[in-house]
Amino acid sequence: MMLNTFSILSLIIAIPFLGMLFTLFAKEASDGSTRNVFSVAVFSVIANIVMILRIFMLMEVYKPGLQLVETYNWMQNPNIDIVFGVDVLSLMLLLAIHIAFIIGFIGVRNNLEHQKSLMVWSLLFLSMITGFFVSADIFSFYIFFEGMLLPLFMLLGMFGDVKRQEYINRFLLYNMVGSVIFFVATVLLFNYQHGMLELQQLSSMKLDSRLEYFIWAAIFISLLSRIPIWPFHYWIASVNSSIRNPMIFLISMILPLTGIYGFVRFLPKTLPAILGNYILLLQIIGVITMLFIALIGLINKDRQYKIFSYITVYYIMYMLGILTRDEVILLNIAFSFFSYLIIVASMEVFSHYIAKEQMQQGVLDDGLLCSYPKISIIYSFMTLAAVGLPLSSLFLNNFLILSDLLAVNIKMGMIMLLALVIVSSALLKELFRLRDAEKCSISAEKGEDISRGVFIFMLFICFILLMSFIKPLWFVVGA
Amino acid sequence: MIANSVFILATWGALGSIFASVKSGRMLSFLTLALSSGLFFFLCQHYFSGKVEYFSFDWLKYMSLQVEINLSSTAKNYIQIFPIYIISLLSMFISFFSSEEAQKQRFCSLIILNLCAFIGVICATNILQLLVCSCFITVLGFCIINDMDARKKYAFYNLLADLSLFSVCSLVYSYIGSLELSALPKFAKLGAHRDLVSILLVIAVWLKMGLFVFHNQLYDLSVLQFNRLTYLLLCSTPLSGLLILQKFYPLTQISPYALPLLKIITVLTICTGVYNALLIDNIKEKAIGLMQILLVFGLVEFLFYSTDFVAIENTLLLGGALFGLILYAISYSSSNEIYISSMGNFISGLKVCFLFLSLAFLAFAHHILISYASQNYVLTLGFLLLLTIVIAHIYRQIFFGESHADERVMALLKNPAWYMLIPILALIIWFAKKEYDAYYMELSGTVILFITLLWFYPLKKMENLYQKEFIQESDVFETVFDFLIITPLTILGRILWLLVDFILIERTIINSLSNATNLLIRGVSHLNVFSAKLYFLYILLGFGLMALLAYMGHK
Repeated sequence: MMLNTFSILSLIIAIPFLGMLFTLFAKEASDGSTRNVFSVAVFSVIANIVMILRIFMLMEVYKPGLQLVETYNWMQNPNIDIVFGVDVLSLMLLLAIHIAFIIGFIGVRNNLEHQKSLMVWSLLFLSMITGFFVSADIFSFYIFFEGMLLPLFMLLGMFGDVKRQEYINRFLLYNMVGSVIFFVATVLLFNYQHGMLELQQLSSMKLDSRLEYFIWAAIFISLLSRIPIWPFHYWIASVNSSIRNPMIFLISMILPLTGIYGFVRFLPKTLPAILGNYILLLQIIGVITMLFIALIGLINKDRQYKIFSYITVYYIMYMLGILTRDEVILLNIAFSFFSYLIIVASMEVFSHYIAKEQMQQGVLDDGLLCSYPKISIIYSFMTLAAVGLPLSSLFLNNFLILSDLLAVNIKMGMIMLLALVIVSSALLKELFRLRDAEKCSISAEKGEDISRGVFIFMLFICFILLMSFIKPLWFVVGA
Repeated sequence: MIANSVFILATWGALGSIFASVKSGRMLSFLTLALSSGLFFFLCQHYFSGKVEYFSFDWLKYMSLQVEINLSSTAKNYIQIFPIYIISLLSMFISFFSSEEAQKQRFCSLIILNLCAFIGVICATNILQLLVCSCFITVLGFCIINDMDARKKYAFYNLLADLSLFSVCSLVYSYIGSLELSALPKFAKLGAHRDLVSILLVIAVWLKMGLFVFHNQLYDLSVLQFNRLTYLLLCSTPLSGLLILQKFYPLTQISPYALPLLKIITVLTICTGVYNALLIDNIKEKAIGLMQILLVFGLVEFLFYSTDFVAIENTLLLGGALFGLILYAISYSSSNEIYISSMGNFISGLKVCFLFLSLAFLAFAHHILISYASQNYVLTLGFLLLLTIVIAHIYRQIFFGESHADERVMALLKNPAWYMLIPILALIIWFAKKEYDAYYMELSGTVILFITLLWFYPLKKMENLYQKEFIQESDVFETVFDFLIITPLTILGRILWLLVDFILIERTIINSLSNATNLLIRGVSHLNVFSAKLYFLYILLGFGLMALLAYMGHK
């Protein structure tokens, strides 16, 4: 039974799912072209972006708490309600993920091998992650949290390289441990409450001390299993640095976001005493991981690993920001995340394009960007925005996040800054290597640059990033 | 008026840099120059009218953060903007006429965007406007440097500088809760980690200005075309570093270490500048050394004697432009020769040019004496002495003595182009316009010293050092940075990668788990082998378990 009639949030979960079904039944051309499948997939994502923008219009963006709440009573006995709701943080993340998906699709548009499967599983993932970001009760949260592993598992199996068995094992090992623990915690909470629980209620629940200790430990471990924090970083590092498909890289890069977002939804505003120790431990491990991964990123010659180290350092910074439980910081994290996801997606797509061209031309990638002027412009813009120059919302919002973190713990903040300097240097170093004209071994005529259409689209993405620097919610009237 | 000008210039600059093309570049660059000159005229008119216009625009209005963009037209802002504007116009003017500049429109557009960023820094009344505009100057400088090798150190050093400044601003904001620059003195009372904040600020200024130890980023720019080089040295990150120091000055006073450290560095930087201006063969590197001496002299005046920063900044910037133009003109006259060791005896073909350039130096010396000797007599004289030695040394090697130039260069010697001489003449007039009412002795002394140094050439032996590869080519500081920072970081990264990732996680944890799972699977497989004995054993175990449970239940 549906308790209210307004169901736009269900719609944004349904659209990618329907898109997936359409893609599944879309006819492939007789010449092997996958343009039809690609167009259906892209159309689904664009349709969902339009819906997300509509939701922005419907809500009061600066109002705290979940809005546009939808409640469905799924079962009477046991009593299970499914609750959906959004706030500005979840919507910004959803919008960024959708834009990142379009960028990812563009990166694989000429892919011929398993194109349909790639699109189908990607759209399923998108549907699941959309559900995850709008879920407001622990049951739907758990379903979508686990549901998004299936598409990634399938994609890893299909597109992984010779070592894929090894990566899948690691992927399963880490994620299943987290899933099982989370499942136990959900069941315990369900039994304790004698029914379903909205995420917002969790913070005000009174648990007995032993249960509280276990529940929080379980939630922390399961969320951390998704985040590239030591020692959980290993499976993500293996996948990210080995999978040579930008779409799968993108999906595996978005997965840690679910762990980070979990902290936003689960951590109460006023932390129980039991959490104090966990958070201190997490802060220590977090900054050590940041420095550790940043250093490896600096010395590693693999571009994928450099991007991964950048992603990791930023994810952990956001996680440490979320642990402060400050509403203002959360808002800044939302704005910062928006640019971060788009930048990382663009960098990965173009990094993959360069790698592909390098293989085709049979040359080293030093100075390769000199033969691809359009890619060079976009890649340079993205790198400069990524290192924190005022070209996107990363600049201003990171300023506010860091000012808060420095006030909380100066040592933690300084180590974090050091890690940021190291990963930024690694990215810049890579950019200079790619743009080193003296080492360029192919002529500009030989290199096949991106098409005019893609270039214009990417310039539009750069424009979006620049606008997000001027005003993060520029697209919302009256915000 | 400033706000309107910035809006027009920024729009034109952004459009110009996006649609810059080689074909229409010359015409568009002329339009850019004409537009900028027109706006400069209106700005001057507004300044002389004495009107003050306050302009602030609400940029961000969050619950927690309100940021305004301030572009008020006040006399102080005008005075600081004018020299930067003049140098920008000069660079655009030269690039328009010079055949060396291939991308005229792009360069002109970047110049006016950079000018807008500087206006933003000068008019800033809050931390964020200052920080954003300073970062824009870094990005625009990066774009103006059209050589990848020259960009490398620039980018890394300025990234570090911007992140240091970023940390300073973050820390200050977190303690005082205000973005206003006028609230900075509060940090002394409310803030913590004062030494850290102060030292980070010094590091930011140190890196941005390319002071001693980090000066090699400026010397790497010597591969650029002369006009771009002069523009970058005078109107890019070194100047933004000075302006940042001026705006954040209260923060240098909260720690006992910051100012002494900065003072030591400035003195060492002047020594480096003199060293390079005297000993390095490349005329562009000499120009860099000379301009470093000028900018850092401003810093010395400011730090040691608290001289009015605005007035001295203007003099030294225009002085820098004058000497940049002089050395550019010499290089141009000798078919773009850049090595002093390949010059000499140019007086035979460039008599008028030599007189003109000597006059330029004396006009500048006159201006310095009249303007600053009354405030800091010893320092001004010391500075003038240093400058006289350096300029006389350079002029002597170029214009007199035995010629080392090849025949082609000597045959093609020509006077500098008119588009170089006009700006030099304008600057000479500007420097000489102050009334000549005092310091006759000092000025006469400078003239005599200048002529004596030219005549006797006491530093002749230094010429031999042009052949020493160690002095001319080696970058000691880069080697030191590599040894002290890059290599340890690389080694640490490798150790962590191998020890923690590979040995601990891959080989120990994951392999152990994998082996344990294999062991379990093997054990279970053995148990499941088809065997009557095993089945009998399981049945017995089952009975045993039931008996145990029954016993426990009974108990």
